[in-house]
Amino acid sequence: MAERNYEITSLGLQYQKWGWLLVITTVAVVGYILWGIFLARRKAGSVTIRRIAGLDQIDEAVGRATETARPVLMVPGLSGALDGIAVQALTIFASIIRTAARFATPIRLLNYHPAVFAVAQEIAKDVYQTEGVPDRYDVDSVRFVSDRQFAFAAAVAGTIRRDQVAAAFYMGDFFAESLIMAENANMVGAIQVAATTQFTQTPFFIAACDYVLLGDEFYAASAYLGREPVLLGSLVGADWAKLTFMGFAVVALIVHSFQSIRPLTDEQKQYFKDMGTPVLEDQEYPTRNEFFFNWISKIPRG
Amino acid sequence: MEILIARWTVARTDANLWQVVSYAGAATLVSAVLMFLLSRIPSNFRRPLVGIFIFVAGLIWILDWALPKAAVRRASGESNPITPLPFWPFEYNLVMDKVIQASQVLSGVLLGLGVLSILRVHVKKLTKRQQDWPFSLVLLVSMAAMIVIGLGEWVASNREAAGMPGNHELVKTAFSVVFNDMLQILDAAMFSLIAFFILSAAYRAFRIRSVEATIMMAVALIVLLGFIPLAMAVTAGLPVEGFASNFRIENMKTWILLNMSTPALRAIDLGLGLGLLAMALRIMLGLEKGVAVD
Repeated sequence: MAERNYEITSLGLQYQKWGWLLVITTVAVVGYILWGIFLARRKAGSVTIRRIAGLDQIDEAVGRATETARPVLMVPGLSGALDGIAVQALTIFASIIRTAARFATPIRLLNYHPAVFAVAQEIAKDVYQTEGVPDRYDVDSVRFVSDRQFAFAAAVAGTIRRDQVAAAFYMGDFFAESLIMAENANMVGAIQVAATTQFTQTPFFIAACDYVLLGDEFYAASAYLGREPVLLGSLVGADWAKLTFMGFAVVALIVHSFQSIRPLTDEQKQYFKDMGTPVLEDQEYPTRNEFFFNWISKIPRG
Repeated sequence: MEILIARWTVARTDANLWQVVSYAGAATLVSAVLMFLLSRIPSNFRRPLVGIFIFVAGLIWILDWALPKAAVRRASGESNPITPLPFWPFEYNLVMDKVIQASQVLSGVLLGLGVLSILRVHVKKLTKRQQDWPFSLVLLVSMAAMIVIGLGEWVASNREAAGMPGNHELVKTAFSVVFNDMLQILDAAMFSLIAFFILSAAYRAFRIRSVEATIMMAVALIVLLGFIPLAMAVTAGLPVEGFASNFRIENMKTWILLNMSTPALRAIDLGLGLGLLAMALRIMLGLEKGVAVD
């Protein structure tokens, strides 16, 4: 053992706030998902998925592009690496490319990260080959553009304008550039479908696009398009987890509704004054529910 | 192991430039051999092998999240948290440093592929005099200038830091001009366009076409007015406390943001988190289907 020239002052920093609750919750969610997958595999066809309008529009959007002989634009977001979000985006794009390959519709798949670009290129080539039309694959249709945010946005906007795209699909991580792309595509009259994991950008896409996949609909897309029992089962597991969290929210709602309202002590008033917060002499502040917090504090910490 | 890691961590100065080059060359050679061996593996073994690799790669990050982190006190005064391993002679955060560096190296190699893509598209456009070819010329010239000046600045900075003679100011000024005075400004110009796009998108979204659009417009209007001092002055006559204070525009705005907007965004975020977790599990366990993972 190498000699350590430091002294540990506190261990388990990440567990100090919530104790074992964090681990238990994560294990429970993972358990739900695996159990959902297990059940769906055992009873294939038992799980159905509701209609997602944005994904139903893929064929229509590609069809319109085919009729007008204009390209379909795809942007797999600005992920900083080839992460799960980018893989999910590329899975959806594979389905779009398949439809485009069948109808010989030109595509433009513009990438922000070189790793995503490398995989996107292989996927596009693979899809054209499996559809039996490898000669229709244009190697320049899948491009790396730039790994600078606004240079990328400028290039996408320029492509939209110059190529007059008929349909645009934005899937993945998007930030401030989302509106630049979506508004430019709107100006050339393209059908737009968007899905982003950055919830701060969702309102912008809702304002500018025709269809938006909200929240986890983005992750449900591969299950929706493929209808594989494994993928559907994991959705069911995630839904159980959501129900559990809703249960937690209801319990928290009740607990907080019964929290005691009491006048501030002199000590508390002084604390707020020291912090620069104005305090009225007879002001009452809600204080935390002692029963709930005593119970929480008894959970063993890391 | 600590010694091994320390030996592999080479400071980038001119003094050990050849050492860096030799390490990089050796690493490239080893990677090429590994890739060659991987390509020779029968395809029915390739998928399980890649699956194991993905599982281990995911496990590294899960352990980083789960292993208890420690606050430490050092004689030197540094207090960065570490992840000690009781059964191993080094900390887990050192492993993470190496993993992050390896992924950065991989990204660097893949960036070469990206640059090749850019060159292929734009050189073809230029040589065949396709439509808008002058834009391609501008792009290629700008890219070449940025690479040359950026590398020059890196060398000049290193030489200056090592106390080596030479006029380093010229190249540093050139870098400042192309990076700070041109690229950053162009970035800012693109960013400023968003203000106009917000206006045009908001105009379309808030047109009163349906009940939902009307409600959205009314709510958006309250939130907008709640941030404007002149609008706040209109309801300033209402009392600060009591029931009537709820109708002060700034209180209505705060209520909407805290009790309607924030919970909705948190619900979307929760769904996204669960969806990502489910997908990560499927990928790690080799259950994910689709051309992207096959």
